[in-house]
Amino acid sequence: MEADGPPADLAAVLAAAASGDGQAWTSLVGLYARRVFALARSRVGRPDLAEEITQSVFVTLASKLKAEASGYSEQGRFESWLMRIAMNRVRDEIRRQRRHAEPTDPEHFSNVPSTYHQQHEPTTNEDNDRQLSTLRRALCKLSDADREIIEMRHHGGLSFAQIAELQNEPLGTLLARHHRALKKLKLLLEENADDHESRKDDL
Amino acid sequence: MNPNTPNNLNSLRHSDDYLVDAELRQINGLLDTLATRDAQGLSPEAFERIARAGTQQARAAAQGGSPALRLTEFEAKVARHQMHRVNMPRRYAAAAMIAITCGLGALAWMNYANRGATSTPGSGGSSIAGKDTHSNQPVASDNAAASEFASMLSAVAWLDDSSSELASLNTDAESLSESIKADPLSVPDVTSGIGGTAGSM
Repeated sequence: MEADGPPADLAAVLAAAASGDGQAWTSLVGLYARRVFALARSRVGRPDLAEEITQSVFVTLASKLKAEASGYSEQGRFESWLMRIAMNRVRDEIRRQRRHAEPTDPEHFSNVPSTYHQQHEPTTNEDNDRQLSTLRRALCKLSDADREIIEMRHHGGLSFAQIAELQNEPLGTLLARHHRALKKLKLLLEENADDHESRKDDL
Repeated sequence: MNPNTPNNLNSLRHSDDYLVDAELRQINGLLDTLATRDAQGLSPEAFERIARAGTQQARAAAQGGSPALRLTEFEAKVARHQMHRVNMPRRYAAAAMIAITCGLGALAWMNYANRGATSTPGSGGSSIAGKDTHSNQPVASDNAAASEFASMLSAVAWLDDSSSELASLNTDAESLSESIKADPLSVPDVTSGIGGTAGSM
C-alpha cells in the first residue's frame, strides 16, 4: 500500500494533537489509521479485532505523544515509532491468541475457493478475489519474521530504511530478506496452484 | 554501473525497484493490492471514534498526569488483586493445616490420656461386668486412635496436594508480575491464566 503524503508540518500537527486538539487528531487518524488497520487486519485476520487494535494504538500514541512527540516530529521517525507501537500491540494480540485459541490450519480454507470456483464461471473480479485469498493463505504460511517484513512494507507502508531501523538491521540485509520472503511466497503460490490442478484432475 | 548497488540503496528507500524478477514484481504488486483492500475495511465511523478516543486521551494526558501511568497503575492494581487471590487461599490453607494438626494432636493426646487413666491399676470396679468393660476399653480406644491417625494422614495428603496446586498458582502470579514489569502497556491476560487455575482449585 502506498503511504499517504506527509502533512505540511507534521511537528505542528503532533504538537496540537498532544494538547488534545480534535482537528489535529482527525488529521493524524486520517493519515495513519488505514495503514495501522491494514497491518493489524493482515496479521490477526478479524476486522473487528483489527479495529480495536487500531484504536488502542492511537490511544497509546495519545498517552505518549506529549513526552515523545518532540523527538519523533520528523516524518520518517514518527511513522516508524507509530508502526513500532502497532507491531508491539499486534504481537501482544498474536501471543494472546496463541495462548487461548486453537490454531487454524490454512489448509482448512483451501477447499473453499476451489468449490466456489467449480460452481461459478469465473469473472475477472472473482479471479482477482481468488488470487488475493490464495495470496493471503500463502502469507499465513510464512515465518513470523518474513511476514513482518512483508506486512510492514506493504500494509504498513514503511520504507525499507524505516523497516531496517525498526528491525535493527542493515538496509542491504533487509532488502535481501524481503527478496527471500517474496521468493518463498512465490513458491507457496506455485505449490497451491499445483494442488488446485491435482484436485481438478482427481474430480 | 548496476543501479542496485548498495551506493544507490538510499534512492530505493520508497520503491521496490530493486526487484528484477518479473514474477516477484507481480507478487509485490498483488501484495500492494491486498494491503489496499485490507485498509479499506476501516469505516468512517471508526475513523471518528478513533480520533475522538485519541483526543480524549491526549486531553486527559495534558490536564493531569499521564493517563499511561494511570493505566499502568490500574494494571498493577489488577495484578495485585490477582496476587491477593492467589496468596489468600494459600494463607487460609496454611491456617487450616495448622488448625487441623493442632486439633488432631489434641484429640490424640486426649485419647492417650484417657487410655492411660483407664488402664491405671485399681481404677476398675469390683464387679465382673465392670472388669469386662474396662478390659474392652483399650481395644476400642486403639481402634479410634487408628481411625483418627488414618484420617490425619488423609488430611495431610490433601494438604500436600493443595500445596502443590498453590505453588503452581504462585508461579503463574510471578510470571504475570514479570510480564507486567516487562511491558506495562500490554494488558496481561489475567482472567484465564491465573483466574482459570485458581478456579480449578
